[in-house]
Parts: sequence; structure tokens; C-alpha cells
Amino acid sequence: MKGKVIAVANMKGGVGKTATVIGLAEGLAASGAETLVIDLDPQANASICLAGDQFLRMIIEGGHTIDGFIEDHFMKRQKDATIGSRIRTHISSVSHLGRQLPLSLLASSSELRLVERDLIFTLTKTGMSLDRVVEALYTIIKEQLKRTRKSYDYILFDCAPGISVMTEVSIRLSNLVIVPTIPDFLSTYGLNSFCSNLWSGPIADQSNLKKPKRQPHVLITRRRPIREHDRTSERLRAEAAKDGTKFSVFTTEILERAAIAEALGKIDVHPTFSQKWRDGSDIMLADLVKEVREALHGS
Amino acid sequence: MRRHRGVPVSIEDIAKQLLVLLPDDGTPVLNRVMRVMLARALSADIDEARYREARERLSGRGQIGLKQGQGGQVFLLQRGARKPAGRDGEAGAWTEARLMPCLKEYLEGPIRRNLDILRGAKCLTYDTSSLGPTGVQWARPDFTLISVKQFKFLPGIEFDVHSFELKTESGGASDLAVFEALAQTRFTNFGYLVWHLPAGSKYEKKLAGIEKQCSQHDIGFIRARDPKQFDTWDILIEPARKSTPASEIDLFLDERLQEAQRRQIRLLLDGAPA
Repeated sequence: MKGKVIAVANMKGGVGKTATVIGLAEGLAASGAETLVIDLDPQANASICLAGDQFLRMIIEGGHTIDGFIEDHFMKRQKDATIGSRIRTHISSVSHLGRQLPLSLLASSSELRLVERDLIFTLTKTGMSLDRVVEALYTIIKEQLKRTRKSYDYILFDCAPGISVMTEVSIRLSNLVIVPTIPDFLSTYGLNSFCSNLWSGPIADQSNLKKPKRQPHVLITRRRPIREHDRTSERLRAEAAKDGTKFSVFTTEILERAAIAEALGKIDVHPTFSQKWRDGSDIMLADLVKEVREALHGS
Repeated sequence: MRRHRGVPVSIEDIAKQLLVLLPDDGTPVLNRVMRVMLARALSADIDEARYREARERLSGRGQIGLKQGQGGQVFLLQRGARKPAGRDGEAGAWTEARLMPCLKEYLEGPIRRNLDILRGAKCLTYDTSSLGPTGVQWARPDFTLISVKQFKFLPGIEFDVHSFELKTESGGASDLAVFEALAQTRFTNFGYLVWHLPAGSKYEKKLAGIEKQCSQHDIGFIRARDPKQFDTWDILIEPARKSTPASEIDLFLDERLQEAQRRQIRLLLDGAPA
């Protein structure tokens, strides 16, 4: 079976994308699934959370990053450059039932922003339109993933905020797109346009690439017991239930908890899964894992 | 579910790595934690049976001790029992470990003549690369330098703490290096990035960008061409003083330094020669 690819994306920043990626990846891994996280955000937050200070430093120094791959493949034209050789296996510092979580990482670094910009500059200079740049990148990453998918049950993309070239590629490559969203006015403001842009709007229509098959799944994050969040969650669920809707909504909600922020800060220590995800966060993640599996494989 | 098995690591390699990972001071490490640490370091599955065999081999040689409780613990018995990790790259490469003594020598001599803010000051230098809290990012300067300056006429003294972040040729080629040096000024008055950038390096093109970042963040920037030739070390940017709270600096020195080192600082403040 090929590994399933999940993109975690939203145009808006600060909605809990990286927290979702880390929690879901560790939840999937704790359930025994071999899981790979591909960090597409130049802030490298997922990378530091998973690898820790020392290992990330070694990874970046060795050029074993997604930006290292793009630079070697496109700019230096090293056609034998692979993603697989840059994946750091056995990266997790977390254990579950006496075993290290089966988690791997393809890290990013702050260079990704420059590399992505240089890539667009280089390819558009040869006469390529931006759509063709996306297609070129899509073709290469798809080819690379074809090999990598055999080794993993799940591959998670942590996308940068906005719709970058890499985000568009990862959404088109994914079996499932999760859109973490805080249930408030500002966070849901651009939700419809984000969904329609890539699934049915101009960006989707102009591209020669296939549109994503499944509609995006909204994951309500950082939920607090306040009226604004109650009302917005209700509205999102009502919208998702309508015919011709642009998105689905997971039943599981990620509550705003100090334990989650603390869990993300636990780098360079070696907790068990339940020590890391305290105060019921582990149960929340188990529920999310179950729903994600159902969305991908059916119940 | 599939597993990344790969080629199994030999028992001897597990044993060697175990020695490298154990704390020098004999602090015990849980077996569960040590297996995760080994798996990360060796990038391989470390199953219970192979781990136990490696542990017993070391215990039999009298190099490690075993403790009961919480699934068992291991600790280093002999100081000096550890072998070099040997994962810093090919022989002869300027790894951070090889650069450290050069930087120490530089901080104990040449920099004091070349840096305006250190001229005429009494200084003490400490290796703080392995001291500090775990789980906190960018909180361990490679070196910490204390400078004390007395004025001819003005009363009082100027007491400053400087943090130095050392980077290898490839390690210094990213903005992250600057941010790391900057982050360390949470605890110090002045922060510096020291980058080993040999002449003709492929990372030379990054130099202007790193220099600009240092300048924007008021971080001192020292470029070392040849680690052994201090006349090839250039202070490209002098740092600006950070408004770090005195209480933070005080706490940093109190927590990171050993009693003997703290005593040295007190002596220096009392007017003893550095």
C-alpha cells in the first residue's frame, strides 16, 4: 500500500498548523504508523520541534533539507539529487510503549524562502509561466514521493502560511488537506477563498494539474469556551453540512490548552507520548487520528 | 505497519555510542531514554535485546553501572571511559570540536587587543557550550567572556558579559547562526558570531548577508580564515550593548558557572589581576 499524503495548510498564520502537524504525526506514530513529516515552512518550526536543537543543526549543516534538495536539483542541476537521501529517520525523542516513535523528518531551513524565490526567478527567466513552474515542481516532487511513499504509512506536509508554490504543489499531491482554523471572525474570514482558490477557483482552473480529489477538512483549533468560538464553530459546521459545500469539518476540536504549548516546547528531552501530551491532549490526538484514518481509508 | 529496519547496528557500535551519550558526571539515564537517544544518534532501530547485550558488555568491562527502578538506568562509571564519537566528519575537517580550543586561545589573547570594548579590561573566559538547561533553544553560548573595566577618574566599574557562538564553515552560512548568537544575549550584554570561513570557501557568497544580519541585530561578527593563524581572524562588526536586565545576567552566571569560576569573578571584582 502506498503511504497516504496529508497536507496541513491555511493562508492564515498562527492558527496551529505546526501544532497540528506535530500532534497528528506523533499520534499516528504512537498508533504504530510509520510517519514522515516534510517541513515546507522556512520558519522550520516543525523541524525544531521534532529534531531539537542539536540534530537540526547537524541536518542543516549537512544540507539535508527540502531547500537543499530543491537547490541541488533545480539550480545546480544535479539530477541524481533525491529527497530520500535527505530524510532523517529515527528522529523522535518521544517513546511509546517502550519504543521510539517511528517518525522521520525532511527538515527545512530559513533558506527555503530564498531557494523558492530563486527557483521561480530561474524558471520564469527561461520563459516558464508561474503555472508551469508549479507543474515542474509538482512533477519532480511527485516522482520523488513515489519512491518515498513505499516506506511510510503517512506523509505530512507542514505548509507555510499563504499559498506559496510549495503549498500549492503539496496540496495537489495530497490525499487529504487539513485546514486548521481558529473559530473566530478573522481566522475564518479567508477560509472560503482559500478553499475555492485551490479547489475550484482561478488557481485551480488555470493549472494543467489535477484538482485535489477530496474537499479540504477544516480542523477547529485553539478552541476556547467563549461565545465567539461557540458561534463560529456552529456556523462552520452548518456550512459544511450544506449541499455543494466547499469543505468538511472534523468532529474533533483541538482545545486551547497550556499543555499543547508546553508539549511543543519539549525539545531535547525524552518524554513518553502521554508525558508529552498531558491533560487529555493525548485523547484529543487519538480522536483526531481516528477521524483522519476514516477520512482517508473509510470507517 | 512498515519499519525502517535497515542494516542492524553492531553491538559494539551501540556500546560505543552509549558511552558517548552518557553524562560525564555519572548522572544515570533511564533505559527507555537511552534507547531513544541511541536510535536518534545512530539513526537505526535499537531493539531491547541488542540494547541489553551492549549494556551488559559495558557493565562487564566495568565501564558503566546499572541501577534498578523505573525500568532500569545506566550511568558512566569511569571518567575517560568514553571514546571519541567520530561523527564530526572526515579526519582533518574543522569541526566545531576542533575549533573550540582555537577560539578559546583567541578569546584569551588577540581579541582583547583588537576589540575596543575589551581594551584595558580584565577578562575571564569560560567554555559554556555544554552547560545550561535542556529543552531550551539556543541557550548555551559556546564561550562566555567576563570583562571588568575600572576607570581612572570615574567611580565604579564596568562589568560586562559577552557570549560567543562558534560556527563551522557550513554551519555559519545561514541566518540561523545569527539568530542563535542573538538569542544568547537574553543572558549577556554583548553577543558575537564567530564563523570559520576559509579563504575561497563556497560559502563566501553568504558572507555579505550574514554580515548584514549581524549589523541589523547589533551582533558582533568575527570571521576566522585560518583557525591557527590569529592574524587571519577579523572582527568585521563590533557588537552593540544589549539592554539585558542585570538580574538575568546575574542568574545566568550563577546557574552556569561552577563555584570556583564564580569565586574567580568575585576576586576579579575585588581587584585581583585576571
